[in-house]
Amino acid sequence: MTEKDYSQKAFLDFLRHAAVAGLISPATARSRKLAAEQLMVQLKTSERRDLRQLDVDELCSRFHKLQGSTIRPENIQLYNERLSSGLKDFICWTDEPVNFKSVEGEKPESIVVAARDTPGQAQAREELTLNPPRSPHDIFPVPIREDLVVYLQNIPLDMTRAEAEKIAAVVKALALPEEER
Amino acid sequence: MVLFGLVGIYLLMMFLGLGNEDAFEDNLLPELIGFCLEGFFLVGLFSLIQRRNERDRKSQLRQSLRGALREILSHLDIALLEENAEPAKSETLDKDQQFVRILFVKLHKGELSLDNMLNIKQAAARNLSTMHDLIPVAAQLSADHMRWWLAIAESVRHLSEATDKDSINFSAHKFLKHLGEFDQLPL
Repeated sequence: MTEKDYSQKAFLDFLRHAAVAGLISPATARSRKLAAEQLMVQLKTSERRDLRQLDVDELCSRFHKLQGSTIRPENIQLYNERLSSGLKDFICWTDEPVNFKSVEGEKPESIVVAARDTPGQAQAREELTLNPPRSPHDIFPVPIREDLVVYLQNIPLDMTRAEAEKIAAVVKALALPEEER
Repeated sequence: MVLFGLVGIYLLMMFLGLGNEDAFEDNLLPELIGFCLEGFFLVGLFSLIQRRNERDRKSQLRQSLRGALREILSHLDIALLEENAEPAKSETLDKDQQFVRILFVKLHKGELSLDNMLNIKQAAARNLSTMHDLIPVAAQLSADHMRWWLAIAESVRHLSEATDKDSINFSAHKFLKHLGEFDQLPL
């Protein structure tokens, strides 16, 4: 039985073959090849020989350190996703060509989960993502009525009494005059 | 330059009007016409050089301003990228005016994912102070450039403070629209 080849060359051959054989779409193959060409310049010799040893996240951070700003960080993230899915397909195909099924078209877990959300859950997810709650340690709740809580924020740990009185004076100035209540 | 040209033409007319045979003898007019011609060409040449230098300086200033928006534009580009398409080059982000229009159309047709919205919002927050620092640079270009730059900075501030999908979409539209206007301004 012949030894299975997981080298970089075999990977690039697989991308070419998969596009020709219709295993993956030519556009996907091209985008994965471009991602591989961009990132794989930083491969170690052992990784080049066997891509199963490759940690794409680690490769990206290595790339970022060594290549500096040649590629923008957001592009590296995109190439990371493309290379990862390309490698998944390559390893799967090399392991068992007969049972090969491409990951092409599979959506990321976060999108699949989000698609199952009810409108309420989607709203909550949106709020948590775009307007996350601030650290509870720097917000002081002051319940002033049964149904009303006022929050004080950014109080410095070394606040002096004079500073506290200054805040109190501002709050007092905001209150309605006694006779109106 | 115009002054030298006009005086030169006037002197030439005077010279031609004399019409005697000894026109070049004991006459200052040919000398003065020569002086005007030299002035016309030299002042014209220096003016051209100065204008070109000024234009280069202004286009560099505009490029620096566009460069400050590169991160936000790049995140918008990634967010609106078609499947398997390649992200835009840095040069495109910095210089291409058509690119902003394309992004605007894509944003109008498509929808941003939550992760991408967060990335854009964070990029806006990171770049906001730089944008404010660059207001004097925009003012060096022209008053219109400064006005549109202020509008761009304002939309970036809204982006950084947006807390829901609608306001992020709205601010992103505004940002691209203002940037499109800024790009259209002549130097």
